[in-house]
Amino acid sequence: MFTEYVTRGAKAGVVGGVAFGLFIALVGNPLIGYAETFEHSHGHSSTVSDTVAAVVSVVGGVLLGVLLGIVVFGAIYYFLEPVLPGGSMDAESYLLGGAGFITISGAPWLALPPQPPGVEQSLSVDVRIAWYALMMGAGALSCGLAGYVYRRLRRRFDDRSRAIAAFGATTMFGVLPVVALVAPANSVTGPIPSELATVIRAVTAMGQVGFWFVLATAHAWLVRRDRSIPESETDPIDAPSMAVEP
Amino acid sequence: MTTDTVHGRIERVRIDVTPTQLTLMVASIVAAGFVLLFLQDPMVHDSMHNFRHAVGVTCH
Repeated sequence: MFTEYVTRGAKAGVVGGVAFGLFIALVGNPLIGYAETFEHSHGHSSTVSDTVAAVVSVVGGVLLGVLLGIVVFGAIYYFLEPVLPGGSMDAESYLLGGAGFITISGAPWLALPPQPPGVEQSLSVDVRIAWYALMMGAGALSCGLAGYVYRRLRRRFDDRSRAIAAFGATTMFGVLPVVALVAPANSVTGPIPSELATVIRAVTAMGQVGFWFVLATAHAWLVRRDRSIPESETDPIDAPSMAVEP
Repeated sequence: MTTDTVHGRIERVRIDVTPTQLTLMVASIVAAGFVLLFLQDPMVHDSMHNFRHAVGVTCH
């Protein structure tokens, strides 16, 4: 059963990964390449050619999709399915996708938003990695708390009001901007026009939102397909005894 | 259904998956994640430059 869940997560991951790979190939690579033309000062001091960087980045995108598909929609979905709020199976997939986005990107971006190439950042790489990891932890924690509060409120109010429970759960995300405010300020200077920088940030954010949306949609579709097929080969453990005594 | 709790699911994995399989799964996922996110070798790091920008993580 666990293996089936992980396999299904991997399938959803391939769909999401190919979509994200296409995004990098068609949007990410050309946009970053264009933004780099504004870097006058230090010539492109890369150890690899642009083609290699482009291809490896696309492959990396596909790999990231498969990896997150296996971990989030395979293993985590398997363990948390009994407690995921939602009611319908689709909602569970989308909630998990939203939690994934908040944890991996949304929460860390509150402290360290995406940057265009060529910028100088005042914080060192080590400090930024530490804060990125910390914000990921805070994001995951707030998602978990939101789920817990939702369940508690649904039980408390005798399943009367979804709205109260949803509101209570949403307030749990209020801690994220507070934690982000505590983070040291990261002042940024770069050669890129601010309009282009805004476009790059927005496109990056849309890319991640789209990536998780495709992952969750593919997963929801696969779950629905699996559940609609009558289980011909059930696990030996929970297969009901079919032997009928005459 | 016995599998309808998180605890039940964990128990099921203990029955279904051998420790070797589990170790292999975790190891391969950690390895792939490490290569994607933390490998600082200049060749790999530079090749993944656009990828990091597309994901919204920057390292320069």
